[in-house]
Amino acid sequence: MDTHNRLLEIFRGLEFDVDDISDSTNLRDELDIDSTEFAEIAVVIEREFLVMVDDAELLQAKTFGELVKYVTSAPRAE
Amino acid sequence: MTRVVVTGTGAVTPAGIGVDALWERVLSGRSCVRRIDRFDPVSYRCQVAGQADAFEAKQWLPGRFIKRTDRFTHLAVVAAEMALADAGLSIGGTDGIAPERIAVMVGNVLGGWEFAERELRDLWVDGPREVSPYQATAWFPAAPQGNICIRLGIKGRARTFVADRASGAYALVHAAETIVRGQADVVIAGGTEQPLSPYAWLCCQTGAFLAPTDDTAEPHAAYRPFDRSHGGTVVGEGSAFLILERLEHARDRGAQILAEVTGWALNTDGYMPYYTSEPHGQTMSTAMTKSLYRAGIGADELSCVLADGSAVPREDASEVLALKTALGSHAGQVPVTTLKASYGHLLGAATPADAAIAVKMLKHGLIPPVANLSRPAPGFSLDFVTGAPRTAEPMRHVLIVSRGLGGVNACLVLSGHSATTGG
Repeated sequence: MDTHNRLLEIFRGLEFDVDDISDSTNLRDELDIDSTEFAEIAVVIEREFLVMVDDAELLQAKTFGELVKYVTSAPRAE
Repeated sequence: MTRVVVTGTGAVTPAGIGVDALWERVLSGRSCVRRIDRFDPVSYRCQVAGQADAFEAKQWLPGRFIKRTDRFTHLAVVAAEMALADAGLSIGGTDGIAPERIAVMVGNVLGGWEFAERELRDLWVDGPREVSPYQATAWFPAAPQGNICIRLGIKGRARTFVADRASGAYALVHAAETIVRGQADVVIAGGTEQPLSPYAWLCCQTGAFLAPTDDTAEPHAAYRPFDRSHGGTVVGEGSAFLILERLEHARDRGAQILAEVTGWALNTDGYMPYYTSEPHGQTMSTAMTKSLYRAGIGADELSCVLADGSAVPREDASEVLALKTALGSHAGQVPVTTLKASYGHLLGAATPADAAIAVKMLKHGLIPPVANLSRPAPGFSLDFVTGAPRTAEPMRHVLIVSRGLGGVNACLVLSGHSATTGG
């Protein structure tokens, strides 16, 4: 499964309705993700992708596509 | 004088979903208390409870809301919105009440421990990064109040009361006072409790008010208010809310008027040793008398007392003494019931549930019986309603008694609206 679909599955596990999510979906305006939910997402990404997430960098992602891009480029966990 | 009426009720309790289910349960005089299966209770002194098993949060609320919140918030949000729907009220827009003129008052004792226990275990086992970022906001007792306001867009006053088992009564009293002071036209007032997790249950156990029961005990018979064999309370989970409203506001919008909140009083025993109450019930009787005075009625005009009935022997005894003092020469004539034994004492939601039932009592002219009261303890010479519901004609005024650890006392009088208006 590619990163896009793996991330969609993570969102499904976090109780999002993923049917309406595409790369251009805005995380804040359309999905109503606030800073607390970003923190929750960050921990699950770390666990599932075995990467190190910088919370401040993660918060820069505006769309789902940008989040996919961030996860792809994030450094591997030691 | 501003008058406060009840225009809606909602409840999720061990009796089921809705106030009708609760009413049917208490009319039956039979208890739905059961052996706990939410966690393994075998190490605890009390192993029975009222469980709101009919309530599955995912049938009522979105998954993203559920993951952020504890079950005590789920129960509260559903009960509060049920009450609002019953009152026919909408908030905001051209037809709804102004969001600034509606308030929320909630009673709760324990907080959201089902959520918190899971996360604290993760904290100690796996470290802080594994703790849900929602832990802090899911646990704290004001979480239901906050989430009700957020979901409904409420901009008025909002408060949570933590006053042990009288928390819900405090919320109702403060709601009535908020309306009398002109600070809101409508208050969503009630309480919520979810004690069915290992640590929360331990808190109840160390509070020393639970009825000791092991795996051989008959769950239905464990909670025996005022009975010769009373041995303590059986607790339950649930939530109940009432819509309290300024009378003119209710009339102007053509709302149903279910009852009037005519009297209330709060006080505290201030008694040593700690966490006990006065054995003679003098201060509690003062709260009863003051609430009748505020309602403008004498003891002879009371149709019924809805007693606290914790079944803790020393509390039952002091409540009987308090009632004898407050009712005076009418003590033998005023029917007394207590209904928590039918579904469990809901702690912070207990008095709101009592008040929702009192609304039904006023409507139907019926006094449901005390479950498990076979023979009153020696000296408990009051007119207890036992066995079957009793007809009360006319049914005008119900005195509701509530108390908590440390001598917290709270009383309310609910009156039939026709009793106060003559129409």
